[in-house]
Amino acid sequence: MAEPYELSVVDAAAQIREGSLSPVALAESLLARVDALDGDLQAWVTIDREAVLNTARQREAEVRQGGPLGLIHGVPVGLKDIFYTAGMLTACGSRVYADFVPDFDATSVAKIKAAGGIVLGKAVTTEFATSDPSPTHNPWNLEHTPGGSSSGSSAAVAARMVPAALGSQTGGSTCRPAAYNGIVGLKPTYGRISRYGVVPVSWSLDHVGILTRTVADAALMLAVLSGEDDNDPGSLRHPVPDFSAQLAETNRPPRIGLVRQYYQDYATPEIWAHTESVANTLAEAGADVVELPLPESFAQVHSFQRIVMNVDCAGFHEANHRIRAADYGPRVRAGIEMGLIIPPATYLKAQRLRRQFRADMGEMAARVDVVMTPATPAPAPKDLNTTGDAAFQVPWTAAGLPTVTVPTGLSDLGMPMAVQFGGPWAEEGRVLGAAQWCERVAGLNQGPPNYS
Amino acid sequence: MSQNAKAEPIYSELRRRAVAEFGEERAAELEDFLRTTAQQVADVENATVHPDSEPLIHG
Repeated sequence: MAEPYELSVVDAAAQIREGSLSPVALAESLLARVDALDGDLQAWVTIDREAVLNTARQREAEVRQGGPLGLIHGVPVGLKDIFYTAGMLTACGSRVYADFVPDFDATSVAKIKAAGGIVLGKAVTTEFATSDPSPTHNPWNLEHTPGGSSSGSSAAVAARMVPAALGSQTGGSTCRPAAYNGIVGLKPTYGRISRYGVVPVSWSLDHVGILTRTVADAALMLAVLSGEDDNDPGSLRHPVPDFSAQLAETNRPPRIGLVRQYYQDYATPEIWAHTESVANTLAEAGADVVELPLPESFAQVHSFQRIVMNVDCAGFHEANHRIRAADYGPRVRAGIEMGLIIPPATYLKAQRLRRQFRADMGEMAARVDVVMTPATPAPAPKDLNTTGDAAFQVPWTAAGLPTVTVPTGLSDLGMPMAVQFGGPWAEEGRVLGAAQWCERVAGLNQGPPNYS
Repeated sequence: MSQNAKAEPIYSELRRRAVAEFGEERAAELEDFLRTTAQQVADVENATVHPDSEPLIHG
């Protein structure tokens, strides 16, 4: 029988609902796991054990008294340390926010609690969710980066310290570390999950992301977290579908658009060979795999994404930067400073190009069920001074379109490799369905050897 | 800036702004970032945007 810490969100929630698993036993199992592993991995920054266990006892009593509260009743979830948590430190990996304790929960945190979830703790983030590396290590090999910026969330899920965690993505900060750590990453459509109470990098580009070990868990977490929020000006004004039903409907051989252009040249030979191998496996299992050309507007996407990100980041940090610039890490500080000197007309043109690009990418994605690319140009680098390369996530983030990464193999060095599926605006169900089918046909069904 | 913008003059202008905002010493430390940003600005300036395309602030 599986140890509680090994359970997926779906299985843990089902067992708690049936009464065969105690939320207290699950929380204790995960906390013991954190005690055993976090000295090596450094994935967590704040855990309030008493609060976790008290909430778990409360959830247990609720099951006995009136049945489960919601979809993830009794299941612990990790939060990247940029999500507001009432009364709990939210330091953003930064000296500038070292003492910041919010007095309310982010909308996403409130939704987790309302669905019966338990906040296990705050996971390490790179400083202000940008590119100065965090202290977290990759559980597949401690000498390799876990990626970023959702580094603690990803490592913790991969090492079975928590079954699900929230991340964020402005460039590639959810799906890249998911790929590096051999887990599933979901970046939904822009605005699908409220950004209210999440310390921003870029108001225009930030997405809340989901990190889990299975596609079904990502779909379940998306159901918990989705919905319109008047507190978020970018909130998606669009009905929330039944993602689980969509998952069931679309969990069949899909029509896949494989993008060779740009991705083949930019990826390492090993990664591209793996991607083609996965595409062949999917085709042999019934998928219709066709090649898709990229829109012309793709050529500038990495430049206009960076311009928007740096200017927005400067807008948020300007006041603090003016009085304590030296307290920022070198890369986030430089990004802020670039944002402060980029001409306003350039920023607006970048945003105009982004609108055009979103339409072009939407048209491309609508020609197939899902678009498939490698998830990253290379496996997680053996270098703790980098968070890796977000080049393959940036186009989807800039377009605000949904993506899911699925681990599909191991490199010669034993590091995870993954593919990324993208789809049209607000079509997370379609993307998750194809991802789940791929997971079944070609998924990597193992965790890090020393931590699973 | 026009649709045949070159990175070098953009770099010079960005560097001038960096010196004015952050001082000569800091501007020198930012050399690599200024070069990269100048190329990004040039890429954006040289791209063709549809006249009806409005900025996408949220989306």
